[in-house]
Amino acid sequence: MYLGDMSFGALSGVPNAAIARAADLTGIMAGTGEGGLLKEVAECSRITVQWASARFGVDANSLTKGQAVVIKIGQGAKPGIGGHLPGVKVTTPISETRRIPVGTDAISPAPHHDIYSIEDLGQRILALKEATRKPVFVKVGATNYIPYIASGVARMGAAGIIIDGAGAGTGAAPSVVKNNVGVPIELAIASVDSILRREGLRDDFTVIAAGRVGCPEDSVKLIALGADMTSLGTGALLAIGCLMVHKCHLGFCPAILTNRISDNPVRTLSFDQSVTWLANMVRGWTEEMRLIMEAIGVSSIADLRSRRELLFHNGSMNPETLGILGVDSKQERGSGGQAATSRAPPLAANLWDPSRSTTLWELAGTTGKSPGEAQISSMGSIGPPFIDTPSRLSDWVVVDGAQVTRPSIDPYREQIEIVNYLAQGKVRLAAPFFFTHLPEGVPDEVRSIFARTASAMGLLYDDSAGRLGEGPHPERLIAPEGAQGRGRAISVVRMSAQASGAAPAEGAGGRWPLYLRIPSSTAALEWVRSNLRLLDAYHGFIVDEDDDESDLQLELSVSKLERDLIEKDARWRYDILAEGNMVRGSEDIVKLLAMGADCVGFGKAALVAVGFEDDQEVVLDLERLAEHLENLVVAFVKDIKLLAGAAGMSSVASSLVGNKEILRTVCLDPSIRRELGIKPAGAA
Amino acid sequence: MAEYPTYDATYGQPIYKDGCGIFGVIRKSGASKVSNLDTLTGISCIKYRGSEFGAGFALFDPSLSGGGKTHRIKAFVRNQDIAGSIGDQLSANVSSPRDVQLQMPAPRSGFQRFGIWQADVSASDNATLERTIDAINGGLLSDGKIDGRVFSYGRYLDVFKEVGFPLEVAKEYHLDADSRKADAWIAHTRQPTNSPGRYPIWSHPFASMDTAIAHNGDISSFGANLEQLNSWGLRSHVGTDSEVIARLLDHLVRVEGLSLLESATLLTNPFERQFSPEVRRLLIRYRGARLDGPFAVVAGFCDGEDTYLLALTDRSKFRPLLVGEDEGRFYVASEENQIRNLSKDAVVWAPEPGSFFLASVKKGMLEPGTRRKIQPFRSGGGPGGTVPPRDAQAPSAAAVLDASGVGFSEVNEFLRRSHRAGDESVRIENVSGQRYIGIGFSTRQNDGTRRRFRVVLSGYPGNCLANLNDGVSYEVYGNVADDLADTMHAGSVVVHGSARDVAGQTLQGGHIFVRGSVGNRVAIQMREYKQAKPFFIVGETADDYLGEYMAGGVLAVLNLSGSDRPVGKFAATGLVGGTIYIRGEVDPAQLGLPPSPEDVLAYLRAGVTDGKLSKDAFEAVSKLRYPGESDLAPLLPPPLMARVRFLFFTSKYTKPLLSEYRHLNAADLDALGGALESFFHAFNLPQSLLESVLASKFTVLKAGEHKHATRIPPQEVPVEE
Repeated sequence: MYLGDMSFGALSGVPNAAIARAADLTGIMAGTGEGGLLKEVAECSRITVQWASARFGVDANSLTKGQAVVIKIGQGAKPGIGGHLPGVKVTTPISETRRIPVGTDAISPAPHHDIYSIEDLGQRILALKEATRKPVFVKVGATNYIPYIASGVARMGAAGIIIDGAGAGTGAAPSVVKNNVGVPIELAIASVDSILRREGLRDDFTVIAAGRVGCPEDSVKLIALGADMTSLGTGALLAIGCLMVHKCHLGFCPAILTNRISDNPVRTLSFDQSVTWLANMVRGWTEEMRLIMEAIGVSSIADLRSRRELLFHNGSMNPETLGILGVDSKQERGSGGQAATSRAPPLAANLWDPSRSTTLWELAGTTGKSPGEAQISSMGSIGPPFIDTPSRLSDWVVVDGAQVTRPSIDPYREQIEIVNYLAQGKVRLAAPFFFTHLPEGVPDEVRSIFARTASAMGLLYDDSAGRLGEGPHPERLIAPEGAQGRGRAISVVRMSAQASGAAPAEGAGGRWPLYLRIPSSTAALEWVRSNLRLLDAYHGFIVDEDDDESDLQLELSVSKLERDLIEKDARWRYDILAEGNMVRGSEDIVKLLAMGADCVGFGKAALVAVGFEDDQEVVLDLERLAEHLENLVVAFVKDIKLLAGAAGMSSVASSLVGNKEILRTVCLDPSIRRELGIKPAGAA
Repeated sequence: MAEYPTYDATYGQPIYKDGCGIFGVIRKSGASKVSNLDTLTGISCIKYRGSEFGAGFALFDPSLSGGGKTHRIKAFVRNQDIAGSIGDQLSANVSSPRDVQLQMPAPRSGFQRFGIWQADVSASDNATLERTIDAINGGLLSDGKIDGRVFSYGRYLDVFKEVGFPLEVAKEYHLDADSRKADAWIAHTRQPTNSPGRYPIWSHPFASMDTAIAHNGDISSFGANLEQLNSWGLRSHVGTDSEVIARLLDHLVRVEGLSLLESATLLTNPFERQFSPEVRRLLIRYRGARLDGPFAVVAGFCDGEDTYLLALTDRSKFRPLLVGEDEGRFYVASEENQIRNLSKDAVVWAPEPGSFFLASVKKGMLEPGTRRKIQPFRSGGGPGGTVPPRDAQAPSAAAVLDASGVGFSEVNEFLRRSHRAGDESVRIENVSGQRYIGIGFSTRQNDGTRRRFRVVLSGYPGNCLANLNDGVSYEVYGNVADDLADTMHAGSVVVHGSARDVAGQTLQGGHIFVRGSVGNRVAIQMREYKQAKPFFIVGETADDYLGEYMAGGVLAVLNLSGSDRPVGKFAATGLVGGTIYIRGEVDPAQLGLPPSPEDVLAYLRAGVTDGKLSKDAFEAVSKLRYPGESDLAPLLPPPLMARVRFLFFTSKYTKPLLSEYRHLNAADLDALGGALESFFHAFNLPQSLLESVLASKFTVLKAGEHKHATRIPPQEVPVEE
């Protein structure tokens, strides 16, 4: 067992010391995180010392205090994002160990700026070995290329790797990253173990599995999948009183574990009691592991490692996923849920649960204290498909985080371009999204605010119903069908109109780019495929999921349309705009972009964010509504930059659009997965 | 055969990633052709960047193809039958292969060996040949099997690659004796991140018709680039981002008709603000050809008339890349010692981020990769470098080590031994690329006092010099490589030359003086602690992200030669403490993370429509060179300015950047003056120059306070959510 890598600062001192001491008492190992070593921790022997991207609290002396050095490349909660100690927790003692001003957010650089590739990592491993004469481990978040990264780490002379799975606990992380980046630890471990064996690198190399290790059974299963050890972070905190308030980043932990450190603490955690609890937990845990092992006739950890034939599944996983895990599909016991197989658009009723609404409110500043910022949250993810029930296909899809082979990019402090051009450069979009047509019943003055915000923020508003006329802000409107009014950005022809006739009349779009609006349906895609030669006059397609004729989720129609266009070498000529009121937020936008959309339209999500109720007829404060909408735009921009940056992309238009390689599916029905053209998580 | 090679395509195009070292060389007009041995020297000396898993060479020369119709086809083949089928397909679709050779290799344990098949064919139509090769390759990598790969089919190039270190591969192809001469060469040593590394099909260079490249990095836009190739009808991919680059470059030039300059611009993917409308049109049209993520690429190309050498670096310059020039040649390399081993006195420079170097035999240097004047700062002296260095006055060293051919552990052992022996000053001569020199060295005694320990290095130390330095004084006569003095706590480093990328990361005590220029991301995360206040002074210029995340200390860029761009883009982003002094005026668009002017103007235009801003004020704003925060403030009504600041210029998690362009005041002189005097003394620069520096105007950068600034709540009172 390894008690994982929680820093002094993320934890408030006593827990750090207690974890290190408990490791000494029970003969396991404890990682110390990036915040420097407390005297009480440095005195313990069974610790590792972390070398992270900000180098907080390390010098030639402190690096030699542990059994090993851990190079922290990433963590499961946020692969591709640096450690974050919120400014509220940077008090004088923390300021002194980390050497940054009091009250400043300590955001470690997203990558190590001396490690942008595998040979750079090799250089740093060798450098740290030369400096300390200690073994060096590398900690990474589990992402798309994890088996490759593990074999690279092994080849570079590391003693082992700590692999932290998706959705793991954290003291502070952007929610959008925590809920959407990385692959589950089980798939990662199985895949890593297979590749390391194939390459002859498995011997003398330690694989530590971390992230959502919640009980001794998890440890046993992960070792049977191929790990040598498992690491607990959240588990250790629960043992000493964590109540799962999920507010570590605010600094007032009711269990006094992650509260901010002050010179004059009113309450402190009992060190002795904590050590006892932790030691008990470790002993109980190992005892239970022994019981399980006894029951299955395994006499040692070495004997358990990579014994996948001991594992059974409960029917909820498809054969493909079982294949990656190396679990025999015939070994089935119990029963579990079934993977979604629906291709049809999702049901609106399932989409707007309270946690999603709260997130949107916070982004817009309708509630909360950080308008226009990505939401920060603590502890593990509760998002789909892991905890929450998936409600649309994008919920089965995760995004890559750059680890080792390329640097992630830090959107707080580095340039990530999200501008996109439509119609061969005629329309500049400040961000790769726009406002779709709003549902019936939304008053016109609210629509006007959307049009105005589209204009102010360099976006588009789809006025397909023609409710706004010319209005004061016509220059950023997608015109209603047939309208060729003054100064609209984009003209549109509905597919039904086009399907019945020949090519559009000469100059159908007037001075403005012309788009064909199609339902998100199999029939529409089929029609486009066979009639592309009629469509020379168009600049692209608007795929509308809300159309009555839609029978496909946007994820599928966008993927297929993009593939069809590529096949005919026509992708460069046509833009793909994907829109629908069931696009829920920035993560859906990013995934649809990667599936092939040039920009993505959402509406209902924005109405939810600004607190507009479905049956509301009168809006009192339009000014405030406009402000909240602007905040939401800025927050979505930051979310998108966080996801793009985590994947190591500095340009959305050139690198993210149509880049399915940065996506992976988790347990999605293989037939849908193939239609999407995305690889399964854990596959190399 | 022990193991049947597999190519697992169960889930779609498999991807293989690697890191490495690269090298390129081209002769100048009138100079003699370049021997394979020079190329071998250039790549072998960085063997440590690569592995036994692959290396290769490519040569480029117009004399290779008679009349431009003869293509040399080279392929890896699993057995004789495969070779036969390649020949058959070429006969059927292109023309009959001539001078066919097949060399089956000696078996090597643990490695899947492939035969190398070679033949010449005449092709009148390049498109047909390319389609045929793509189809052959599609058949060779299918059904999960690796039967081989056609890896070269050009007229004016020849590719030699295999599994092994560079020297082993050279032997395989008899390139270890002076056997081949050409206009230009590129070479590669491979470090596979992922497996399998035992098959030669993933070795570099990758060739596409008359273009070949060697690449160091990992392209994050890979998936999008692959779609671009698919839409051009290219379907068989070996699975590395490197092959994709070769095919993109070849197609852009040969099929799409773009010039090499246009193609290189496109591939390097410049930021929106750096390009003209014409370039923007290209970038949109060929979006799928733009590269993102880390790369340093060296490419060769020959069209039968002229031979070209091209080197590209990504927009953030995440991979090392250097260019060198001497009387007869240009060089491209990952590390300086590669060039120095061939040409001791070459002028060596680092291309700027997102740029490229291009030279041809006939036309000479077409693009240097930097807009700054290229000049060496090898030793002391003012602009022009006529004043001798203070070297002569250095105290005599107690011990001297000749580092020629000596590994880094031996160098460090020498330092430890000398320190233990009580030496105060030691000298290491002929340093040539050794990494980790002095890592983790502390002069602190058990009683807490420090002992003086001075290390004088002459030559070109490799990466990670003086990392974790705790009290040693280093003086380097030569340029230093990347990652100088990472996490240095005390002591000093004085460089009588230039330093490359990421020098002085998390510097938190002591000082670093660099006479010449520094690269990207210098003095990032510099910080101070109580009395320990670090200084970093640069004599000339710095590239992008200078002082990123800086939290303390003093950083100065003196721009002694008066470049019009003393620093690159994104200076001081995320700065939360400390001060940066840049001599001369810096465009506000180069400071911090500035928003796009288009975005700010669109917002203000809407403000005009909403009646929040007068038309006159908007006119005034649109006339600004760049709508920076300080220029906007006097022009906008305060509520609108507050909103603009919130939406475009600030974030809760960073501090606003304060920038002033002014003369140094008493407080500045107090902070900086002493260090400047030491700097001028260390490099023996004239007093008059110091006086003129002190009298100049500086761009002074500091962290401002923030309306977002997190107020620390009273103890134990929950923050309201």
